[in-house]
Formats: sequence, C-alpha cells, structure tokens
Amino acid sequence: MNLGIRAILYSARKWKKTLLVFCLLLAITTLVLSGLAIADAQEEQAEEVRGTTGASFTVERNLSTGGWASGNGGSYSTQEFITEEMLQEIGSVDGIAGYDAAVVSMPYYYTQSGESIVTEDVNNSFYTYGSLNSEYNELFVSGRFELVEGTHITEDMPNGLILSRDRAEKNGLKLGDKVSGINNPYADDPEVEMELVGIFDVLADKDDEATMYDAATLWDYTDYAFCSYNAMKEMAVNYEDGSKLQEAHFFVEDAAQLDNVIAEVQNISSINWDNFIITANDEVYQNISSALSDTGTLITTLIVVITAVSMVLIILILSMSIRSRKRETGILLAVGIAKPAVILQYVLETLLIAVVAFPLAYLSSKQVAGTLGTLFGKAAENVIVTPEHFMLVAIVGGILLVAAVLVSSISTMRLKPKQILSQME
Amino acid sequence: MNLCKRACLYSIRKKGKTLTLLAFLLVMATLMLTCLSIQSATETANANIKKALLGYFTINAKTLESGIPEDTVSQILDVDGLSGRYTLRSYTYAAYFDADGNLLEINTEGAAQVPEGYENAGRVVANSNSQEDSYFTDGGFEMVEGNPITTEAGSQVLIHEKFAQRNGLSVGDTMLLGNVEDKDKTIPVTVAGIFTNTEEQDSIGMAPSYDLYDNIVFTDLSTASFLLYGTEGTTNVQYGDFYVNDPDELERIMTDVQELDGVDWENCTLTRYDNDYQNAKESLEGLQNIVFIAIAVVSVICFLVLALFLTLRLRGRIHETGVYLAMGISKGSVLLQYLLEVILVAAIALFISFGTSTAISHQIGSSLLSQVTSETYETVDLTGENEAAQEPTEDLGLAEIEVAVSAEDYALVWAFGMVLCVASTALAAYPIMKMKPKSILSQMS
Amino acid sequence: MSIMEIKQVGYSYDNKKKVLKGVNAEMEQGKLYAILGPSGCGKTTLLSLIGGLDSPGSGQIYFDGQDIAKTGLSDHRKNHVAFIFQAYNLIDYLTPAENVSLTSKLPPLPILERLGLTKEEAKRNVLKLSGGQQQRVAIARALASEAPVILADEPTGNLDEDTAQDITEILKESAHKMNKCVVVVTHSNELAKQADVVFRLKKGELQVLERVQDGATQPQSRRNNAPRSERRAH
Repeated sequence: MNLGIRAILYSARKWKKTLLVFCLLLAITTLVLSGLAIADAQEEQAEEVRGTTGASFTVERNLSTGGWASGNGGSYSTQEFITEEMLQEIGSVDGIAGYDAAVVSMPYYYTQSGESIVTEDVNNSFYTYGSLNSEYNELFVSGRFELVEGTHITEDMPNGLILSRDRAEKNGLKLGDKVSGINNPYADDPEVEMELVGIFDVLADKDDEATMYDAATLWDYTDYAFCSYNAMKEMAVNYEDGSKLQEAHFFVEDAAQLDNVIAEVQNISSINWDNFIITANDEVYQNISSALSDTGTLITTLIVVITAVSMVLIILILSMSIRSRKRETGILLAVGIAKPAVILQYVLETLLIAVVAFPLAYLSSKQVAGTLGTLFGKAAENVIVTPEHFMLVAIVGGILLVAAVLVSSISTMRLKPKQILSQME
Repeated sequence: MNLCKRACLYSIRKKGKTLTLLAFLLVMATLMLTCLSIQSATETANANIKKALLGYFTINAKTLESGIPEDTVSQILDVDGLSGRYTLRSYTYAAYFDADGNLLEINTEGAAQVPEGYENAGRVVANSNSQEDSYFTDGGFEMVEGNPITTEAGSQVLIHEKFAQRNGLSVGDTMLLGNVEDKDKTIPVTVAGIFTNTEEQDSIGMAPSYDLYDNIVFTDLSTASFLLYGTEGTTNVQYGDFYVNDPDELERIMTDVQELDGVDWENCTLTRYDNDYQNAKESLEGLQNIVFIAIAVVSVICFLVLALFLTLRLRGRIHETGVYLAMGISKGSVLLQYLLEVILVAAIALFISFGTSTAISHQIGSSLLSQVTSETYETVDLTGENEAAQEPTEDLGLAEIEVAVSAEDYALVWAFGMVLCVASTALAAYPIMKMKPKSILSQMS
Repeated sequence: MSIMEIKQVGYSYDNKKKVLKGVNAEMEQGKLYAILGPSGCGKTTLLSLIGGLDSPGSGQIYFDGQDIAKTGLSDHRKNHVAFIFQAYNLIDYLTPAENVSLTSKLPPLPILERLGLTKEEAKRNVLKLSGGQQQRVAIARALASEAPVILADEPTGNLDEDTAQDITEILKESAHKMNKCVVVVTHSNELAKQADVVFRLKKGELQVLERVQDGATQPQSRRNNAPRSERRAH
C-alpha cells in the first residue's frame, strides 16, 4: 500500500484528530494572516497621520543671489520670480499633495449694483490673497480660518472669491453672487468681475497681539479675502512686479517623505536653484514623529511576537500529534516500511490538512477583517488580507510544517523499532 | 490512590507530555502578557502623540482692568489635564529714557505716522520666554548679543541693534521705561541683550512709529505688569497660552478654567488652538483601533487554540480514562484529576511567564529607546542640508514609553488562563465521560 | 539448508545487564520453531534481533547466508521477515484488508478468508474485531508479505484456549504447507509441544530442547535430548 493512500486513509478515518489539528492550523493561520494585515494597516494609518501634519516646504526667491535695482519706492530685487510653469513642474513631483502661491494686495470690492462692499474699517479695502489653491493657504492650513460654505479657490477657477461670513452677511452677499474688484479705485485700474464661491469663518482670536509683526495685522480677520490668482493678475495689470509670485508652499502627502520630495524637487534641472531657497516646515511632524514611530514599532513587534509564537505553537502541536503515533510508527517499521516513507506519510498528512486549512484561513481572516470593519469603522477598513499575505503564509507555513514534522519525528526515529514497540502505549 | 497523587504522578512520569503542555501554556501566557504590555505602551505612545500635537488655549484678558492676576495663573496651572507648558504674554507701550531720565531717540523713518505722545515711545513685548515670542519664531528676529529674557521678573530688556546704536546703549546698560500717559511713572531696566531682524518689516509705510521693528523692546512680565497695571511685587498678564496633555479634553479644561474665581471671564476671550490635533484626530483614532483590533484578535485566537490543544491532549488519554473507569474510579474523580494536572502545569507556566514576558517587554523597551536616539540624529542630519540653523528638537515633556507587565495585566491573565484551562478541559472531557467504559476501552488505539 | 543463522549474538540493556550471551542457532524453512523461557529472559529481544527491529551488541545474524547488518535492517524487515505480536499491532485506521495490503500486493481477501474472516469482517474497523480475529488479521498480514520468515511474539498470549489452538494450527500450516520458517516466542507449553524445534533461553544462552525429525508428518512433538547437535557452530 503506498504512503499516499495511507496518509489519506489516516486523515479520513481519524477525522476527529484530523479536525482538531485542522482547527488549530486554521486558527493559527488566521491569526498570522490577520496580524500581517494589521501590520500593513498600521503602516497605512501611520502614513495617514503623517499626512495630517501639514508638512510642507516653501520655495522663495533667493534675494541674496539676485541683483538689485532702485526705483521710486527705494531699492528692489531683480531676482527672478516664481513662474506658473515652475509651480506646475514642482507640483507634479510624486508625493506632493498640493500647493499654493499667492500675491497679496488690498483691493476694493463692489456689488453688481455698484455699491462698495464695506469692511470693519472706514477704509473699504480687503487684505486679499490672489491664491492658486486657497485650501493650502497658511490661514486655512493653520486652522485660523475655516471654510464653512462653498468651495476653495482652485487653479482652474479663474474668477473665484472667498469672503468672511461677517462681511458676506453685512453686505447681503451669498454664494454665486457676482462681485467686481478694483485694486485701486483712485487710479486707472481695471474692474475685474468675480463670483463669490466660498465663505469662511474666523476661528482664531485676531485681537491677540501675538501676530503684530505681520503687516496683515492692520486688517481685521473678517476683512480678509481670497480671490483667484488669475483675477488678481487682471486687477494688478498696471503693477509690473505686483502680480508676480514671491513664494510658494508645497504640501507633501507623507511628512516622513518630506526630505526625499525636497531632494527630488531640487533635481529639477529646468529651475535654477541658485535663485530660489527651499525651506522645510514639518514642525508638527517632528513633534510627533518619535511617538508615532514608537506606536509603529510596538505594533510591528506585536505582529512579530504573534508570528513567532504561532510557529512555536505549530511545532508543539505537531510534535504532540506525531508523538501520540509512536505505536503506529513502530508497527509500520516492524512490517518493513522504511523510516523515510513513514515520515513522508506524516508530512503528507500534515500538508493535506494545510492545503485545506490555509485557503480557509485566507477566507476566515478576510471575514475577521470584515467583521472588524463593521465594528471599528474606517480604521479597520485598512485591515485587508492580500493575496501576497496569503502567499507568504502559505509558503513559509508549508516549510514550517514540514520542518516541524521532521523535528518532531527525530525523537521517535532515532529509536530502534524494538524500543518504539516496547515504549508504545 | 487518591486523585491528587494520580495527577502528580502522571505529571512527573509523563515528563514529555507535561513539558509539552507547560511549554504550550507558557507560550500562551507570555504572548498574552506581552500583548497587554504592548497595548499599554501604545496607549502611552498615543498619549504622547496627542500631547505633541500641542493643543492649547489662549486667554485674552486684554480688556480687563488688571489682566490675569498671578494667583489665577497658578490656579489655572492646577487644573487637571494641563501639560505644565505655558506662555504668558503682555503687550504695552513705553516711553524710553536713559538712566538719567533723558528721552531716547526712536526711528520714525518709514512710519505711517508718529502718534502724539509716542515721540519717544515704542512697543513693549513681554513673554515668559522672549525666544518663544512670535517676533522671534515667525517674524525673523534674532539675538545678536546677550541673552534672551526667560524669567518673569528681573527688570530686563532686549533692544534692537539700531536702537542701541542710535542711543549708544550696550548690554549691561540701564535705561528707564516710562508709562506713556504718566511719564513720571518709570521703572529702571537693564539691557540684557540686543536683537536684530533678519526679514524686512512688510508693514513699513503702514505701521505707526511705535510698531516699527527698531522701536520694539522686549521685557519681562513683571516690568510689563508695572507699566500696564502699576503692580509692584506681583505680576499680572494680558495673555496666557496653556498647553494640555490631551487635546480631546480642551473643552472640559476651558470650562473648568472659566469656573475659577478672580477673573471676569465674561470679558475675556478664550480661544482653542488644536488644529493639528483636529486634523490628525481621525487617523489617530484609527491607529489606536488597530492596536485594539490586534489585541482582540490575539486574545480570541489564543483562547481558541488553547481550548483545541487541551482537547487534543485529552483525546490521547481515552484509553487511560477507560482503565480508570473500569477500575471503579468515578467519572468525577477522573475529570478532577485531569483538571488538577492542567491547573498544576498552568500555575507553573503562569509563574514563569511573568519572567519571560518581563524579559521580552524589557527587550522591546530598550529597542524603542535605541530607535529614538538614532532617529533624532537622522532628522537633524537631513534637515541640516535645507535649513542653515535648525533648532534642536524641542523637549515636549513626553512620557517615556515603558513596556512592562503590570500587576493588573498579570492578574487578568491568571484569571482568564485558569478559567479557560478548566473550561476547555471539562469541555474536552465531556464526550469521553459520556461514553461507557467498555466502549472507551474498545476505542483505544 | 538453514535460512536464518544466528552467530554468537550478544545483547545487553544500557550496557549493563547482559541479556544474551553468545547465542547461536540455525533455522530452516518449513519448520515451526518455539523459543521458551521465563519472563524477562530476553526471548522478545532475540526475536527482535532476528527480525531486524534492533541490532545485536555482538555477533551476526545471517539471512540466506548474508549478514543482515550489511544488507540493511530495513530491507530485512521489508523483504525477509514478518512479525506477529501478542498485542496484534494492527494499524487502527486501516481495515483488516488494508492492514494486509500494507506490505503485500496480493489480493488480501483470499488470505483473510482462508484464515477464517468473512468478507464483511475484512472491511470492518479492526478495533471492532475479537482478539482472535485481530490476530488472524495480523497473521494474514505476515503471510501476505511473502516473507519466508515469520516471527511471532506470544501470538496466543491474549487469546482463549480454543482460539489459541486455531492460531497455533495456522502457524503450523504456514510452516509446513507454505514452507515458511516460523519462529514463535511463547511460554505456552501447548504451543511448544507442536513446534518442530523447541529452544529454551536460559541465562542468556539458547539450548535446543526438542527436535522432531519430520515435522510435516508428525502432529505431536516429542522430547529429544540432543542439545549439543544444535550448537555445532560453537
């Protein structure tokens, strides 16, 4: 009788034992698979956390390497400005989530009926950012402002405008209203038509004098506005350098990659980096990075411990199950079946169980992940058992099982058949 | 032979089997204990993240007649949940005199106007630590000479490089700060340091003379308090930023603070600043959930595996059971013997597991520590390329992560382990015990 | 022509107690040999050595003139000898028929039927059979293996008298009709009486007690005092 048939007959006839070993294998494999999925989910989640830290870098003109010229307002730098092409080139680098660059001016706004939109101040000028992507404006990123209605200004929006809720209400404006802006109504500046696309709330305390170093502090936060860069350019058409970009902020997806992203940006050959300075800003990430990586290390350790323990458990279980078959081993040897054939039979039986248990564990761990998903919501959705996990577990598990059977058989196989028979229970 | 003796003899004579069981239980108990210690360590790590996201609230008591008094500040600091990190700030104006009472000259070039009464006056900024003031952190101010002001009392000032040149002042000199309205009310201060601005002031042409960078003076809080409120010996402040441990508790802490006596909270503005935390909140909760999920999965499967293992073990003893029953030993007694064996081994395993899991936890703890040191080094190295002067990483007062087996965890594992051993042995024994001795014996293999 | 030859075989447990001290014997096909001796004298050990379950401390065992230590114990077990145990030692997850098929390519049913098992019994769980029937299966397994030597360790020890007699008959037939060399370790005089040659193992030495000249025609064994002649190799 060949050993394959013996293996199948054993597994089928001793189905209770087979079932037990099967359940154990299933449980342990599910554990390891879930563990692997959890480790990956942790990685993803940590990346998400890092993404929320608003790590960014600033590209600004390097005034120290540029020339200087003097005009009627004093001397000014002739250093090259940041162009829109440059922004797009940098913005297309992998790992950059978004960017903003803005030109600041203090225009006046009028309703369609021609009435001036009033500010808190007697002077009706608004401190306005002509922004490419207002979502990434420092004021929104830092949480001082919050967009409560409408949308942010984006690059493809040529004539958008965002005002504070106070101003919108006081002037009876609502989303979609047409507003026209003039940079300086006392000069020969053009009137540019815009559409109110968003309204923000002020969360920060503007009365706090901590920001007095900034020119913008002369305006009340409610008198701030954001308009499309394009609209700003049109309004400032009479001011040669006034509509050019001095600096731009780029936000990265993963704060841990900030340095790599910056390095890649600095490799863009079409930009003369002598003329620009890059400054990294990842203070928040720096603050939490060590605690965050602690969490990562702990979870990884946990998974490693789980995996190691699982291996030990499998070896223990198999050695127990092999040792309980000493008598059988003795008989098989006595009837002249060679040791390798006997061991091979045991290996085969174990693999037979594994062949069923592993795919089932794949399904059951997916089930576990699914159940966790409904229990814990979003976080657990990241706990996904991938085919790669399965392949890993199946291959390593298979090797481990064979090794475990061999190791477990050593003690029995070292004995002479006579000793086995006399020891048997 | 009583069942205790049988249990002991079985355990001793069947060394291999007992050792396998011991190894199994030990591994399980160690796994559980390690998991629990890792879980509590991740809780610490998570609390550290929350703390490092620096949630704080600012009290703006500018409109109050006497600001925030000193004892109110200490009461606020006693509120549960504050991290102990805080900044007190005051802003005022002062007329500048030299030690002899002669007016000092200010810069008026580039000023939108020179308001009346401020011809020789400037802005006075007082901060618990002048280095942390926004002029220094965001405005590009830098010390040129001397030391920043870090004490709340001390009658010191920092002056601008140009102001020092204009008036022939240097570090160590004494000057007088006078109340703008009542110029006779003066306070002598020592020049502790000289600063300069690295960035052009962008409000030139718009700001009044006293707000020009050249005319700003940094001082300590008690000096500002004297100028603002005329206090002597006690320090009242206009603003306070108080950092909390857990930004989730900001709301509660702010409510608690507003219940304190001594301040007219109605006329104060309290603002919460926890944007970084709010951004990260959801993801952080996710991270925390993942740890919980891991522990839950491990626990459930551990128990499952243990139950299965004990069943497997008992099934190997069907024949023995038949023999006992045939000898007239009652089923209860046999079951009790099996339970006793398992409990005996479990107790030993649990005792040893404390040692093993403590050792493992210790190992994890020290690997965390070495990781921290190497990482700090790395960040300094990398950012050094991009930023000329990188300040050393701030000490946020984060708790050291301790991976240790707590007494509660240990007790928990004991309780659960024992209950589980008993339950699964009893459960595994049930089908065997139900059989008649004869059928047990005939089933032997 | 002897098929098994035992030369100066010695054996000791843990290098201490000497169980066998220079045992010599020769065994032929077509004869039933019985080895008698008190419990613990080394009978089973001797049988194990002959069967290649263990290797002797000293001396050689020859099968068909070749040293089994050289040709390989596993090969010896597989091709030359078949065991029958007191405790039957059937593989419990295999049916009687499958147990017989373990080592044989012959169809198991005829053999089992010849030994008195019904077709139904041949397909039952072996543990549900009576002791006698289990031993018949064990013998069937031994016979089916086509090994010329059958080694039986107390094959009737667990059986009642009638069944024991049946088993003895089967063993005898195996020797005489199927030309096997059957070696039985026993302390049953009933069995010994029917053997062609009876050895007694005493103090580690083997003596021939009885010898029947023509075992095939003599149903009853007879006492024969010629111990020396068996020890010619000495």
